[in-house]
Amino acid sequence: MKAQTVKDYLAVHTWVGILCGLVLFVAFYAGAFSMLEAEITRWTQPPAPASSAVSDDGDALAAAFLAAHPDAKGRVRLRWPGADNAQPALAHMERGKDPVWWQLGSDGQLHRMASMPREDDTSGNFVDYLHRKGGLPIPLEVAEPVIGLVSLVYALALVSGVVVLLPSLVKDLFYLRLGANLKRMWLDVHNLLGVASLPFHLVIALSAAVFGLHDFVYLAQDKFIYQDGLRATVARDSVPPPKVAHADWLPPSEIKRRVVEQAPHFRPAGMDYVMLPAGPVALVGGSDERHFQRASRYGLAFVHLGTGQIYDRSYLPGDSGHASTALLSSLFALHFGSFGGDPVRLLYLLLGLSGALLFYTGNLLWIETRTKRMRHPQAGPGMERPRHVRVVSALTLGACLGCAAALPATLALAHWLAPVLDAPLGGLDAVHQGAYYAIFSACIAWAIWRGTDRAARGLLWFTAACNALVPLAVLLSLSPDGMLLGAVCALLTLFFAWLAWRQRCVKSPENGDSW
Amino acid sequence: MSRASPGQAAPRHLLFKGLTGFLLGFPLALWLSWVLTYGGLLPAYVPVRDQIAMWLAVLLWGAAPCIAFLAQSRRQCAIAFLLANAAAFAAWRVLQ
Repeated sequence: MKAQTVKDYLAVHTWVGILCGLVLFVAFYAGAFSMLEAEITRWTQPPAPASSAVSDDGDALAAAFLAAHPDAKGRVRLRWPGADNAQPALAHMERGKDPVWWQLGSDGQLHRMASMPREDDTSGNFVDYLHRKGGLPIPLEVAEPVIGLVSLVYALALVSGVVVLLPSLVKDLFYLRLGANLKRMWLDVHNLLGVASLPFHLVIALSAAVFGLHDFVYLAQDKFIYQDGLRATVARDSVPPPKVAHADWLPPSEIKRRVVEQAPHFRPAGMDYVMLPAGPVALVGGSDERHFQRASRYGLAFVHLGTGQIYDRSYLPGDSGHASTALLSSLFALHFGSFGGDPVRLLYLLLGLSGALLFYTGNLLWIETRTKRMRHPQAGPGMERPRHVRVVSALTLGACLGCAAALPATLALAHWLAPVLDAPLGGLDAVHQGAYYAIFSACIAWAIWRGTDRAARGLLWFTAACNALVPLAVLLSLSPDGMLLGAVCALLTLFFAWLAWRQRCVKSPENGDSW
Repeated sequence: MSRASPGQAAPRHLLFKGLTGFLLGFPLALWLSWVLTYGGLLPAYVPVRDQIAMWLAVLLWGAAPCIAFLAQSRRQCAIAFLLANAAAFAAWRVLQ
């Protein structure tokens, strides 16, 4: 490849990296925490204990709801008792509306649940949304296409980075020059992290682009590519759902039993009735972590309502049968880390944090390169950085440490405040939004006001302290759900405290090498 | 990023190439993804074929700006993408 072409790709890599690095940092950092989404929700909002006033009969609950709402539209979801709910609950979900949750009282009457947390008002969901929005304080439906475009740019950064590194790949890959030359050190770390986790990053870039842009792409395909339209095109390659009269429907518990008979390792968690004009489609959601799952944390079995037979195994973990469905499931599972159980989740947590470090080191390289370029020998080590470098430098420090501090702090706060929160005041989500963005903005403002070199040490100690809140809260009220989160935050506390302690070695705050 | 000044290398027009790849890469990706998934290469029945086509479209769209910087000039970049679009459109029309 021509030297000029490599130079072009280096320029592209630098600019797309600096444009999107901070959003991607937050997306990866929150993404790492989102591997503990279920535990985080149970830690801050422990599920309500079983009540004698509520019926344990899920079949009766479904029958009562369907009898009371014969013309229900949208999706009716029966959730069997599990880690998140001690007794069966049923949600009625319609497009554009909040789900409404119901339980059956021991008196046989349907009761609308007031205590069931809304799906978008949990701590786990806050972390997930932060990940999906890349920390942007805008509605999810606006943020997702933006993140989709950012992911395309991220793919470009990956490809251009590989092109730049190719000529010296073998020579430089495992050559970590840890020493006085900070730029070289960060370059080596950046290259090693990037190449070692390249397959992971390529899958994440593609899948994140798809998750953010799929509505737009489907719309374009529907209007311009599929001459019969998208719906008719999808129907041609789908198994038609069987039509069953309502009187012949099996109760949900019997359908669950028959599904487990046909797929012994599949653990059903709930059942959906999708109310379509042509008749309802029934599907059982559950997991089998030995295999790739089609959805974020679960797979699906399409079932015959009259016999319980699984008539479409396309989304059944490990049993899809076709290369196309297996390929699709693998792409989903490789994004969500929803296979292999806890070891893979921990691995993904580490990969998420290392991804965040990749973007952080990328920004540091940009700053160091421009600092060195401006530092003439006659100016001496005390020369001040140019203004634009100082701004990017403060934003990098403030945003990265702000995210690393605000995320655990808001989780600890939610753990303490959730029991006393009043939903009409905005609920837990208001606490998360308020605390996170207040701390995040304050860190950025502090870094800009004080300058990177003066702010770094204080911000590092602050980040360590915020992380320490989580293990402290776990120790004060021991619960199995907080253990893993507590351990992760304890390690992060030590890491940031070590970085802060190292900062005392920086004698001159003006020398520009305080990373 | 690539502004010319006396005594410096010729401008590389990286922004132009990147935007050309991004904008002209989108219709190209839509047509190519249809040709590859519905154009007769795959069996008659492929579950979730529409989803595969959508993933492929995004993959190809993402790849377009990546290769745009191989062009030596703005003209070469624009012509290459326009010709590729014309060829993909023709294939899409013929294979309907």
